[in-house]
Amino acid sequence: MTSTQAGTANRMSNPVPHGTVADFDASMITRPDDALLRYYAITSAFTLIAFPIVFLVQYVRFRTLRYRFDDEGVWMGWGWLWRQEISLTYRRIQDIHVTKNIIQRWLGLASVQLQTAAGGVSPQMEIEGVLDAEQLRDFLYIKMRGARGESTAQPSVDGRSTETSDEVTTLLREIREGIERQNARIDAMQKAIDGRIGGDHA
Amino acid sequence: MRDDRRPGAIERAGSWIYEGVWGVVTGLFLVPREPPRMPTAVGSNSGGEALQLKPGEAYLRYRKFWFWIGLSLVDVALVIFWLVVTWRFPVVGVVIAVPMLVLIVLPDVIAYLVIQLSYDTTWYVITDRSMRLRSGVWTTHEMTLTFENVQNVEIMQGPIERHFGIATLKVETAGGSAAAGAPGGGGNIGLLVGMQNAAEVRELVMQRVRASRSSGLGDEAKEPASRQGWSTTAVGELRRIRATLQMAH
Repeated sequence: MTSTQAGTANRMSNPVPHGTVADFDASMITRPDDALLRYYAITSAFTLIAFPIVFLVQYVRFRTLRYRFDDEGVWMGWGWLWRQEISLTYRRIQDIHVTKNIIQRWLGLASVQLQTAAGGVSPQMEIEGVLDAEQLRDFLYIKMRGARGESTAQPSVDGRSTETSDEVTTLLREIREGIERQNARIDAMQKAIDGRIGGDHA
Repeated sequence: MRDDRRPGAIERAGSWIYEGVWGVVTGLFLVPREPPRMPTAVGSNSGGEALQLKPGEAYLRYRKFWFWIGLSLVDVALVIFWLVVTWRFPVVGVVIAVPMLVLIVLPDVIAYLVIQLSYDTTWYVITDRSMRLRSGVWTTHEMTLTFENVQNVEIMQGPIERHFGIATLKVETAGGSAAAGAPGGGGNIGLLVGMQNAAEVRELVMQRVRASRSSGLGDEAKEPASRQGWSTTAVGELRRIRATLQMAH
């Protein structure tokens, strides 16, 4: 995997919300930040005697770790002798976890864990070494199912665009308002007739 | 959230110390003090107002209740140990007296502060489409889920929790992993601990879950076959037309 290919990945075409997420471009994230290497060094130092082996493994992971965020999903790959690559689409994300232990907070890091509905003992994807974890989280959240309320609108699966159903809704609303006006007129007329009859009696 | 009875001198001093601890913790340990915020999405028809919830005051009392039980057990054991050592070897007893005192007192202070801090840093933010749950002091843990993905909602309450009038609300998604490290649950479980109005919050969550018609497994929301081609708003209009006609005797 070359580190340049993801840098030129397609820009997000979807509208992004105003506020913090607007100036955030997830497709720019292709590599973990150098702070991750420091984090790996500190955590592997806790293993004392196993430090050289643990750190070597972590170092290889750091050097080979690549991310690619595109319009539909995220890809992640690492490893040299033992290679691993994971892809998932944003819409299949079930929940997003952001954990920061105290060392990660000192280094400005976070671990963003994405879960799909697949069962397993570990989260399906763990994005490490991102400095703007909060922004990445919100970016992913906006792309999740149910975050934008598409479920309440008619999905355009059968080729019927939402404009059609909007037109139907408008028509129906006009019909309802028409009936309401008619009802009001009938009521008024009824009242007028009642009043006249009452007046005749008096 | 704080109770409005006037604090006594001890409580005031306590809050002063506590504020100092807050300063250290938020500054040095970078514990976020503010509740998390949710981004307001384009196309979301909510005004962006999010409900910010916390565990109830009773939850703090509940945690401290367990704290005092644990503290008495451990400290009694340590004191007995020290007495036995002093009785058998008086010199050793004198030497370890000060370290023992530290060992008895220090963990208690830390544990007490952690309880208070974890209470103050726990937030549950609920919007019309999603929830964000955050807790933790040493490791902050934050979970974001949309109601679209919620599978079931559960209220859990033990006898002691019932005595304190609190319950835990468990919101489960289909996300399957045990190790994501949500406190007290698997990665797919959002826990709202120590809720004094758990049933209310459950109704709120379920009402918003019901608004979505998909199974929460990544499939698209499909209309029932009978109303194929009719949007929900259009069907709503039809119902209102029927109601209007029925009103007009």
